[in-house]
Parts: sequence; C-alpha cells; structure tokens
Amino acid sequence: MNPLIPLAVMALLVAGIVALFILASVFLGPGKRHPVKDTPFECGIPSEGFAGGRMHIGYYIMAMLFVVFDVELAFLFPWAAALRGLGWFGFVAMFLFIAVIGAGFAYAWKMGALEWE
Amino acid sequence: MNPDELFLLVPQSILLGAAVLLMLMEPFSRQAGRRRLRMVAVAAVAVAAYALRLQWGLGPRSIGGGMIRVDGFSLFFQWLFLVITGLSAVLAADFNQREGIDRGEYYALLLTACSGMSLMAMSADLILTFIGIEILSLSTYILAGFKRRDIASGESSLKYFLLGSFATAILLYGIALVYGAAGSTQYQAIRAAAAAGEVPALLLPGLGLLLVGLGFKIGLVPFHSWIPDVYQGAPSPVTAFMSVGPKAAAIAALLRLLVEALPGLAPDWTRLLWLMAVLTMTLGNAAALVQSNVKRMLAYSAIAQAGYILVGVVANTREGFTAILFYLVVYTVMNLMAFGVVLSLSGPGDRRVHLEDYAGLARRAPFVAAALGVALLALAGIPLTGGFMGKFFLFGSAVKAGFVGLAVIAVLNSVLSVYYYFRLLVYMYMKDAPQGGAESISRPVGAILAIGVFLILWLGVGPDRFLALAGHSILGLK
Amino acid sequence: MTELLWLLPLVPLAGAALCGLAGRRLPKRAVTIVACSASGAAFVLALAAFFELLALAPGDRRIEREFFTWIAAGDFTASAGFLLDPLSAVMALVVTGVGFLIHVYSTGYMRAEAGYYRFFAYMNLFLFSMLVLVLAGNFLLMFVGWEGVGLCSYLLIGYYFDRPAAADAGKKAFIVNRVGDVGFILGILLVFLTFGSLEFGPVFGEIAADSAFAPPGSGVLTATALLLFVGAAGKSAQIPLHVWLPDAMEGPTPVSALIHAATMVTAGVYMVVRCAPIFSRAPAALDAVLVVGIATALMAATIGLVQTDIKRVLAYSTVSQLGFMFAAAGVGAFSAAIFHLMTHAFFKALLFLGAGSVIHALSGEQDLRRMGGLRRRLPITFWTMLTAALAISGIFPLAGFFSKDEILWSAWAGGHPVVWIVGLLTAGLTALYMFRLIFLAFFGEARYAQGVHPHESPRSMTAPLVALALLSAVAGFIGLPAWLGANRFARFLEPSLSLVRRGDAPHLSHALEFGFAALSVAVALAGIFAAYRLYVVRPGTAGRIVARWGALYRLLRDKYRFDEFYDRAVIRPVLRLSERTLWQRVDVGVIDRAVNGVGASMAGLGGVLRGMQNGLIRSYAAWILAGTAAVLLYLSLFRN
Repeated sequence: MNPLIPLAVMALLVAGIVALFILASVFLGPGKRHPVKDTPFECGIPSEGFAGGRMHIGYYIMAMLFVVFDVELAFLFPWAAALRGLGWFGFVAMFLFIAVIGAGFAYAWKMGALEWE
Repeated sequence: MNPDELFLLVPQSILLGAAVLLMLMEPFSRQAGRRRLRMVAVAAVAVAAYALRLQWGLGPRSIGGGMIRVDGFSLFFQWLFLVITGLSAVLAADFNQREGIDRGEYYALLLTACSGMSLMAMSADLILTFIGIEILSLSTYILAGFKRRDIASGESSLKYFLLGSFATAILLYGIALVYGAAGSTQYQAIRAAAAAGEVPALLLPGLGLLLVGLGFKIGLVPFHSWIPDVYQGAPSPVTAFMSVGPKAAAIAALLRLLVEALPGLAPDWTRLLWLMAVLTMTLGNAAALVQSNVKRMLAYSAIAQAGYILVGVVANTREGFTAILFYLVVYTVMNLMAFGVVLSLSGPGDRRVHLEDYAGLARRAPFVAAALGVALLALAGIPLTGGFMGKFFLFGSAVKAGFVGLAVIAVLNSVLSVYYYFRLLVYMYMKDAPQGGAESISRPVGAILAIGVFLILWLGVGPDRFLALAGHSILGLK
Repeated sequence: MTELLWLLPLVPLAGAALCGLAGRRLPKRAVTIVACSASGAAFVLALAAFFELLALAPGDRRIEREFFTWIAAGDFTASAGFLLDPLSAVMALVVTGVGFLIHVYSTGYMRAEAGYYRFFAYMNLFLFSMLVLVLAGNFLLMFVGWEGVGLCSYLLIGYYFDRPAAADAGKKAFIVNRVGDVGFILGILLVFLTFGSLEFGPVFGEIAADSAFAPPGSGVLTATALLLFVGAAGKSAQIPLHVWLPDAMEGPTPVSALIHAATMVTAGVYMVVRCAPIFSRAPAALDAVLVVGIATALMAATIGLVQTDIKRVLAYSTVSQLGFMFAAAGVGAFSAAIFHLMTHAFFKALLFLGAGSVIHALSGEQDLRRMGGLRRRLPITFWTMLTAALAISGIFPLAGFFSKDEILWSAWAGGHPVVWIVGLLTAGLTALYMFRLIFLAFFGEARYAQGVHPHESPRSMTAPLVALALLSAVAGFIGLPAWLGANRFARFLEPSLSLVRRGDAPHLSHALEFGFAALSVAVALAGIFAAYRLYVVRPGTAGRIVARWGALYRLLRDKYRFDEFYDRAVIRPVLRLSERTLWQRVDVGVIDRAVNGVGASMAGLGGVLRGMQNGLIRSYAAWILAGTAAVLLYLSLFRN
C-alpha cells in the first residue's frame, strides 16, 4: 500500500469535517436576521462608526513596541530560572540580548516613537 | 559554546554589531555625518571579510551542537554575500542621497540581511535555516518599502510581506512534516532517517512544502509571481540587492538541504526540479520578451536565470554544484552591473527606467553604455564573457548527468533570451537620443562598472581559478 | 613564427581596441594608419606562418599551440589553443590578405562618413573574430569566433542605423542566424556527449578510427553532421536560411565585400570542410549538403538574373557560389570546395569593390537601370571588374575556371551526373547574369541622372582593385587539373583532410576531363554571348522576354517569394494564433511583427503571463497555493 494513502485519507477527513460543520450550521441554525445580530460583537457595547475607519498611527506603534519590549523581555523569566545551569555563557548572552533590546529602545525613544502627538 | 566556536562566528557578530551601531548612529548623529554611515557599513563588511579570511583552511567543522556548519561551502557563500552587501551599499549611496532616503537604517538592514543570508548558507538544521530566512526576509521587506513616500515602493513592500509570510508559513509546515517524519530537524538525522529502510511517508510532502518555501525565495515558477511587481516597485538599489543576494542564499540553503539532508529522495526532487527549471526559464524568458520597462525586464530575466541555475541542481553531480557556484559569481557581477546602470540613470523619482530612456545612450555616455552592454552580453551568454562560461558549465553538467533534454531546452532558452537583451543594446547603440545631455554617473559606481567589465571578461577567458575555487568550496557539501 | 601564432589574431584586436576606444579623439589619419597597419601586420604574420608550414614535411604540417587551459572542469578540459594546418593557413591567408586590401579600399570609400573610427574598429574586430574562427583548435573556440563574426556582421549591416532598412536588415540577419546557431550549438553538444571532448584532434581521431560509439553511417554521426550543417547553412546563406544575405547589402559596400562575400559567409563552408571526417562518414548528411548546395546555387543564380540593384545581383551571386562550394563538399571534393572558396574570395571581393567604385562615382546610385556607358569614365574599375566577371564565369585561364571546373568534374567523377548538369546550367546562368551586370553598367548609353559626372575613384580604391584583379587572374594556377599538370593546392591541403573517408574514385581519362572543361567554357561563352545579344546588340529583347514570361519573371524578381512564404507560413499564423487564442491584452505592437516570427510565439506566451500578472495579491497567493498543490500532487502521483 502506498504510504501516502493514510495521509490522503486524513486530508479528506479534515476537509470533510470542516465542510460538515459549516453546512450543518447553515441548515440547522434558525437563521433569523436582525440588524443587531449582524453587527460585530464588541464586548457588549453598542458599536459605532465604520469598521474601515482609520485608526491613529499611534496605536500601531504602541502595539509594536509592546510586542518588542514586553514579549521579548518575558524571555528573561525562563532565563532567570535556568541561569545556574547556563553559567557564564548564559549570563553574557543575556546581557548582549538586553543590550540589543536597549539599543532598540534608545532608537525608538530618540525617533519619537514614544510620543503621542 | 567554547571560544573556538565563537571565533567562527566573529564575522556574523561584526555584521550584527555594526547594524546595531548604525541604527543608533542614525538618530544620534547630525545630518552632516551621513557619509560616515556608509563608511561604517562598508568597514564592517571589510572587517568581516578579513575575519572570514582567517577561517580559510581550517577544514570543515560543525558548531552549535551540529546546527552550524563552517566549511568551504559556507565560507564561499559568506564571502559572496559580503561582496554583494558591500557593493549594494556603495551602489545605493548616490541614489539614496538623490531620493532622500540616505538613512542609517538602510545600511543596518543590509547588514542584517547579509547575516541572515550567511546563516542560511551555514545552517545544518531546519530551525536555523528558518531563522536565517526570517532575518533575511524581514530586512528585505522593510528595504523594499524604504521609500516611504513612494506608493510603488509601499506596494512592493506590502506585496512582498504578505506573499512572503504566506510562503514562510508553507515552509514552516514543511519543516513540521519533516520533523514528524524524521524525529529531528538536523540534516544529518533527517538523512539517516531517510536512509534507514523505507522512506517515511511524511517526508515526501515535507520535501514538497520545503521546496515551495525555498522556491518562493529563489523565484521559481509557479512561485515567481511576486518578483516582477516587487522588483519594479522597490528602490533600484534594493532591487539590485534582492536580485542577487536572497536568490543566492536560497540556492545555498536549497543545496544544503537537498544534498545533505535529503539525498535519499534525489529521484523525487530531481524529477520535480527538472520540471520547475524548464517552466522557470521558459516562462521567465517569454515574459521578459514583452517588457518595455527595463527593471521589469531584468526581473523576468532574473527569474529565467534562476531556471538556468536550477539545471545544475537537477544534474545533482559535483560538476553541477561547482557550476552553480561559478555561475552565481558571474550572475552577481553581471546583474549588479546592469542594475548599477539602471539605478544611476533612473533620474529623480526612480522613474526613467523605460527602453526609450536608453535610446542613444552610447552617444550620451559611451562608457556606461559599454559597461551595460558587456553585462547584457554576459546575461545573454555570449562567448568570451563569464555568462557563456557559466552556462556552458551548467548545461554541460546536465548533459553529463544524462539530462540531455533539459540541456537542449536550456540552450534554446538562452538563445531566445538573446532577443530581449539585444533589444536594449539596439536601443543604446542604434537609436537616436531624444534629447542631448550627457548622463553623469558617480565615481564609485563607475569604478564598480569598470571592475565588473574586467571580471566578466576574466571569468569568460580564464575561468580556471574561479572554477577551482568553486570546486574546492563544494567539497564541504556532503 | 608559430611560437607567435597567438599574435596573429591579437594584432587586429589591438587595432580594434585602439580605434574603438581612442578613435573618437584621434585624427582620421591616425585611425587609417592604425587600422591598415593592424590588418597588414596580420597578413604578414599569416604569410610567415604559411611559409613556416611549407618548410615542414607534408606529414608534419600540423602545429597545435595550446596557450592555456581554458577550462578544466572535472575530466572535461578545453584549451584555448590554435591549430595551424594547411587548411587554416589557407583560410588565414585569404582572410588577412583580402581583409588588408579591403581596409585600404575603405580608407577611400568611407572617407566622408561620420563614425569613421567606429567602422574601422568593427572591421578590425571582425578580422580578429574571423581569425579565431579559422585558427581555433576546438569546437568551443570556433564557436567563440563564430559568434564574434556574427556580432560584427550585425553591427556593420546596421552601420547606417538611421536608415530603417539597414536596422531591419541587421535584425533579420541576427534572427535567421540564431536559427543556424541553435543547430551549431546542439551539434557541438552532441559531439561532446558522444566523444567527451571538443578538441578537433581527439574527436576526429576517434571518428577516423571508426569507433564503436559512432561507426560510419551511424545515426549519431548523421545527426551531428546535420546539426552542424544547419549552423553552416545559416552562416553561409543556404536554402532555406539564405534570406538574410541579400538584405545584408544595406551595410557599407566594403563590408559587403569583406564579410558578406569573401570571408564570413564562407565560414560555413570552412566548418563543413573542417568537420570533413564527420561528414564523410555520414552519407545521408553529405547528400543533404549536396542537395541544398546545388539547389541554392541554381535558385540564387536565377534570382540574380532579374535583380536591378547592382549589389543585390552580387549578393545572389554570392549565395549561388556558396552553393557551389557546398555542392563540392557534398560530393566529397573538400579541397575543391576550399579552392573555390579562395578564388571566389578574390573575384567576389573584387566585384563588390568595383561595384562600390561605381556607386561612389555615381554618388550613391545602385540601380543598374540608371547606369550605363561607364566604360570610358571608369577605365580601371571597368577592366578589373571585367577580369572578375570572366573569372567567375569560368573562362580559361582565370581563377574561377580552375576551381569551378574542379567542382563540376568531381561531381561527374563522383557519380552525380544530375548535379553536374545542374552545375553546368548554373555556370551558364552565372556568365549570363554577370555579363548582364557588366553590359548594363559599362556599355550602352549613359542612363544616369543629368548633372552626375562620374569620375574614377582615388588611388586608395583602385589599387586594391588591381591587386585583386591580378589574384583573380592567376590564383587558379596553383590548382591545375590533372590534364594540365599537378594540383598543387589539393596536395598542399591533403594533410588537413587525411582523416576523411574516401570511396574509390573511378579512373577516368584525362581526355574526358579536358573535354568536360572545354564544354564548360563553351557554356560560359554562350552565357556571355546571350548577355551580349540581350543587353548590347538589341537592348529591347530583354523587355519582350519579360513581357512574354511575365509570371516567371515576377517569380524570380520576388526571389521565389521566400520572404512572403515565411511571412505567411511562420510569422502570420503564429501571430494569428497568439491574437485569437491568447489574451486580448497581448500587445502585439510591442513585438516586432515584421521580422520576428520565432519570437512572436514566445511573446504570445509572454502576453498570457502578463495576464496572469494582474497585480492582485490574492491572485498571486492563489497561484502559490495552486502551485503548492501541484507540487504535492506531482511528487506523490508520479512516483515510480
């Protein structure tokens, strides 16, 4: 037997199950339309404005900075836990890492990314 | 990691250190100090090249727990990437000043891209290959959109980013499948898994998805669709860089992957790549025939050239790989020359890139026209140029490996390609200039062109030493 | 001297570099001196090499000089090396000798042209490439020269690029030659594949040893020979690739003389003779060479009868004579082919230069109908051209007689009576069209425009004419037929052809050979006489014949409508196909319809690709996804 056949069977199964669920919801759902039901769900607060409206650029920058400085620095926790095993190599490596992040921080600061005009 | 291993990573550390330095210099230095930015980039490249020189002759070795290989192959490519990066920085200088984008980040990104490319060539582990690709890709995404105020540049960047992420996702899926099949991401382990009796079933689709991901970076048909748009819209020096650097890096990664990790599947991937090579060169050439925008024509030409290079992969012999390395050197020289001329002549806004803009160039700037002419002749594979030699080795290796049909198709294709390269020559030499006015070209670009002409002729007349170097370099590949 | 063989092509290269790079700033006089002395020095070097070769014993006349290992990849090596043997020595002498004379001539002819230096740079570059071609010791280097002469040819055809006709002619020559080059490259690849080498020595040695890979008459040898012949037919303008040569006359006249008559177009003949060991062992291919050659000879001669442009008459004459050379090779008379190549180089160069002198005298008039009566105005031109015309017609004892007669005799002796008859007929036609030209241009009353005062050309132009006339007159004596003495030329060439496979030649009497020679002279005289009757005695007769045989006349005038045929059969169907079935966005205006039939189909494909390239990210992503699915399917389905 071709060893790829199980793979093909799995692919078919996946596609079939997805199709099944979509079709099932189409046929089984009550399907009553209402303007309120058609609006996107936003934490229960009535939505306003257009979805295509422009957001202030500051949000994007803030989000990106958050990713860089918060999530990257979360890396410090496992490092701290494993520092004993890593020894001097780990110590120096992490300081290089922090230095690079720090350089990025300085760059962002100086370029005015932290200011909300 | 012991100091010995760190020593082998010094060139990369220099590049990355300089990149960070450049990024800090940009906001912290005054407007007058712009020239220094370029100097730092070029100096970093030079120092890294020197550090690399010290590694020559050490013999192949694996570091980082078998993730990184330092051998002739990776040294060759690191050296090639340094040359590409250095030349791109020099080529970009005047252009960037003209377009008002002469910023430190530009050079910093070139250096990180170079580092990513080097990792791709050194990697002996799918994870590291992926990281190299990502470092390279993120840098080039930004570079493509570096002219922020230009809508074409933004479009180019966004297209590259979206399609690139898509391809990367496919690549990642391929890595996952291969890991599932082999139980490891290390090339040697994958090889062992494939060699032990029956090939695991998941390995084959894994191979396919990896080829898609790398094929996207190389620009193989049918994964080439981004190339014309991105090359056309990106600032010309970035296009010059992208047409040689990432392409060479992806080919290096492809060679390592196929030869070191998946030799067991050679019948499969030669069969597939045979078809892709034929499609790539034929469609690339066919599309290039109808272009009137020189940048776009060169983009399609780059696609076709990737098809020629693939011929050597299909041959799957030592000669074939040697020919690839040799051809990559030639290709780098001729493509950088062609784009060097394009970016020098493109005028304010990077707009004068149509065939008509080259009419009568031989009269207005004889030297520039002659240099572009030599590059075009080489791209077309006319004898006495390195392009001819490179193609001769590539196609010859295919003939020797028994792929006569592929070689014949490749020859027919390169004959066809002569048409569009010569059309530009005809415009330069046999048409009248619409208006007078000599073209000016900066001195560094002129020097690069002069060296390029010399190199192309040298490679065409006496390819021996380069060939020996290439042959020596692939010894590491096993 | 043979130690300095590398100098031979390098001297013209240096001349080209000097003229091309510094010529713009140099005075004309300096350019003249550089260009002429470079070609002259090359001639002297070729002469020295020739005499050195002559001093050796016939068996040792084969000097190989390897300058450096050009390529060494694995077990494949190619050297940048020259091979000096009688064959290449003869070619080098012809190329440099005629080349030198034409350089001298050009100093007068091109005097008033802008871009004087550019012209001489190209001419010297041409000499370099041609010498590389003939001296090459392997296929690869030969190909380098082959492409080089082609490049110079296109550049020089398009020399007057401000004339659209010249630019189109350059493009046409370029494209037709690409077809030939594909054949040549594939032939070379096949040689490499079969014998693992591209050096002439080992390859021909292997073939001559009747190796097991490629025994005589085997498919491999036949295919190789046919592919090489496609290349030769492209360069030497044989049916069906002859269409570019007449158009190439748009170039300056000295270019027509040097490149499109005396040397470059004969490269195909040289290549076939060089590969004689292959061709002689591939009878089917040799038959193809014979048929194509003799058919081209006849066809071109008939077209030449009705052309009115003096240079086009000569162009068709060249095509016809090249056909003769191929016919000679086709019957196995390789040395006769080279002999005719040499004599033809002399008298055809002379005819072109003479025509140039006439054109020069008439301020650019090329139409034979507007010439006439120039005999007394241009005495030197007249007498030298008359010599050439007699020579090409095959009148004893001028050069053309010996070489053409040897071909005809070889055809008969080789058992090809039909070829002999067609050849004889063509010889008669040759005399007819050539004397038509002479009579129309030099006899009768003056028909050129009022106010034109023809004058003899300056000495720089007439001196080469006289030199070539002398050569056309006496060069034949080195190849006397058997009934008159010994064929020293064939004996000299013999070492180069020692690996040729020969059948047993039937022994035929000298008296018969003499009789045949007398017959061919009689036919030539008849042709001349007919021309005399038609164009001198009763100038109206020709017009009546045309009126009576109008359809035939138009067919000839339209050159058998080859161009129209290509247009209908290749270019237009391809275009229609791409327009109808392919995307409506195919921008046919972008591609050059008129000349590029081959490109058109690819351009059509390009148009489709452009349709795919619609700029939408989602469709690109869809392509990538479809491609991924295709890759996976292909990998898993077609697994053996």
